[in-house]
Amino acid sequence: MSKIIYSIFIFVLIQATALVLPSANAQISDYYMCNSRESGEWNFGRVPMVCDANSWGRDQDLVQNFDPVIFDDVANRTSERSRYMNELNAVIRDAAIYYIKKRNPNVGTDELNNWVLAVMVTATAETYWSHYRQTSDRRYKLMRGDFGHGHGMMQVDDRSHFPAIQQGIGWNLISNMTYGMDILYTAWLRAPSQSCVGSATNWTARIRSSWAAYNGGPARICRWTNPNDAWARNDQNFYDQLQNKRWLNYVANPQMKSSVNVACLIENRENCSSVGGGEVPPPSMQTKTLYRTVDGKMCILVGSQAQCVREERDRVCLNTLEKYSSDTAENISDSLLAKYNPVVYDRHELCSKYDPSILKVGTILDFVISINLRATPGGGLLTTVAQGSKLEALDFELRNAPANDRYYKVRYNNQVGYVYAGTSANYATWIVGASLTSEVPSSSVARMGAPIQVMASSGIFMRATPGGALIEAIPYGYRLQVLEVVVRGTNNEIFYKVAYNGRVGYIYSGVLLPKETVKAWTKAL
Amino acid sequence: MRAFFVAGLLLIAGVILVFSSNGNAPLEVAARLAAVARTPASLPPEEKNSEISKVVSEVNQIESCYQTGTCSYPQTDPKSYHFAVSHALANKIALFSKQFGQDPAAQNELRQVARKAVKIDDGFVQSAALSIFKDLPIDQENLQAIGEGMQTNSDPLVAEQALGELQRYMGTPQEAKMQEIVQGMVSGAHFASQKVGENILSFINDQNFPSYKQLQQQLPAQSRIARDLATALKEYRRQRSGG
Repeated sequence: MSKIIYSIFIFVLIQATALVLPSANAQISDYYMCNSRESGEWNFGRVPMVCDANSWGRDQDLVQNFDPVIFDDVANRTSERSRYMNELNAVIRDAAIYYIKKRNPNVGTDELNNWVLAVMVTATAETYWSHYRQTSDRRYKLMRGDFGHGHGMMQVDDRSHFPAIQQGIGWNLISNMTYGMDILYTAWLRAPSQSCVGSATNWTARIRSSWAAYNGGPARICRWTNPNDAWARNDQNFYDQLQNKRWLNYVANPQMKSSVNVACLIENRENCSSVGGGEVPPPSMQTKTLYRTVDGKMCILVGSQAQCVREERDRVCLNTLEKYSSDTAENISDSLLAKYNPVVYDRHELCSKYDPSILKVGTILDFVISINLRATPGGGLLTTVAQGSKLEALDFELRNAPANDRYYKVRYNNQVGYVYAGTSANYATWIVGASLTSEVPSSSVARMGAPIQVMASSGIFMRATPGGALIEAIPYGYRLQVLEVVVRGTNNEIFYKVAYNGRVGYIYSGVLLPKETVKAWTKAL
Repeated sequence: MRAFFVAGLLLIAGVILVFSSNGNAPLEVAARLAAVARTPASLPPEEKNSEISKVVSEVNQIESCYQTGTCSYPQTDPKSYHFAVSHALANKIALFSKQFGQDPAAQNELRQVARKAVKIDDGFVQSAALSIFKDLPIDQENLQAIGEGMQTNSDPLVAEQALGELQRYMGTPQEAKMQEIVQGMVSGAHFASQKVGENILSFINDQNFPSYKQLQQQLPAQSRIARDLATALKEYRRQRSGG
């Protein structure tokens, strides 16, 4: 009888535990990973509390991308606040404009101006424009509010479903703003239909409602109309800031050009060139100068010809053609660029020529030491890849000439991210290419000499060169041997050199970015 | 053995206290635990229907707490109430699905709960709702609800989960409506739209290729979503032409 009672008891115990545990795991503690916490003052740029920023991203990348908008605690407070506010005003303005134009390309002037105002007041109400601060101990800090759950200027919350904080989105000022604007804009779109707003052009009510939903949750969109609400004081403070715009007391030049490359950072998060040039576009291209096109290409002038890469992140590889003097890029129009007969280089060929020590995409990487895996090269820490691991390189990135810091994208324990792999001087102490005979877990790209099978249901065309003249079709199911692996393009297109029917040519086998499609084309055997 | 028994009693007492702190009477919780222990499939029809109604009522009650902001969830900071009530709602929906997800007797109630929940602007709640849809037959009203939910969604994980559900509508009479929803998500919140761009390839076909091409050309040229959509269109063309 006692055995029966104990058995029933254990069964109930297990059921009760299963009911409790999922809820408990969903909670994050106050001030999670908040190291070296320091206070501040309730004034622009220095609101309490701040904690070490490097819990969420690398200090090196913080400084590289955001130096102008780090509040320096040891500088003269008055002049530093003025400098900081002028710089950050330009950043907030540009980010807000880029965001709404992307969401609504036909946005009217009134709505655009009121949206920018809404974002500025939100940043004021949430944190008095506080994000990065270099404290007197010279550590870089990130603002943390709401018992540490709110991260950075827009208070990206670590209790949300999407783990933005772990991805480094809360830490990165521009990502922080973008994520915040995603939430604010959702409320902005809803507000006109709410009884407390009534129309799209009731701008004051629309701004107040958008923020109420932002601050308290979507269901609180009309919170500001209730003077007895628990957070009525917040709404009153917000209204006060909206009417008085106190940030303008510190912003002497509201039209100042942003020192931070806002558009690039919104789209790419990091590794963006600095913003250069005046308001007037250059009349001609100059040597040793970096140029940025409308669609994001980076170009330099070599002789009389413009030589380009398709993406900003590969600009360091242009140094193999001709060294440019500064990482500050001038904007250039398509019509001006066309006068210089631009040539666009493939990133794999050019970067390999620039730094032959960079390991090619598809290479199996052998980890000489344990290395942090981050969501982006400089961003949120996901886990640590163990020493001795062998992982496939899905992508690469080179930065910071002449040291040539390199990063590889890998998949480790079902997480995808980037690992730092040293410089051209010391890369061998970080990651080396694994031997061809190494045992590796399943990889996307077949290794040279490996057998593969055609998986495309209609077969694959063999071509004289990658993407070139057609030779003949290889049918579904046919087995081939990989003679060479070629990787091309910004999406890491895979081509295999193979022999078929007495001839040698190249077959296409999918892309690795943004999502792998290789297995739809061929299967490694 | 006796020590283990005592420890277990303490744990059960703790469970009861946890549920009590979320507004459930201890005795009712204990009765609920006993009902769970019996598994829903084993309940007689009348008792099962009563249990289903009770759970739906609880879901509705928490949802009311979400909308009104007047229940006893913590107000330690401006967002604490929202997160607490959203968690409670998501957990209740997940429990409902766990208890009755495979039970034909609860299908209608599950549908109604999921349709309401997917329109609530919280990632945990929307995710729980999408998990219910996954186990239900596709349905025009389900699709309509998902579409409304995705208009206000800014959560990339929810967007990815929704795409998985929307994929089920390919090749069905509801495909046109589904494609309208997906194309709306391409122009939606920044991080959510990036997730859509990564996964858009499986939604492209010969009929909608021109509309996706047009959409791609309307996006900012340097934006990641524009580049990813261009990649998907190029990949689709290659897949149709043999590479």
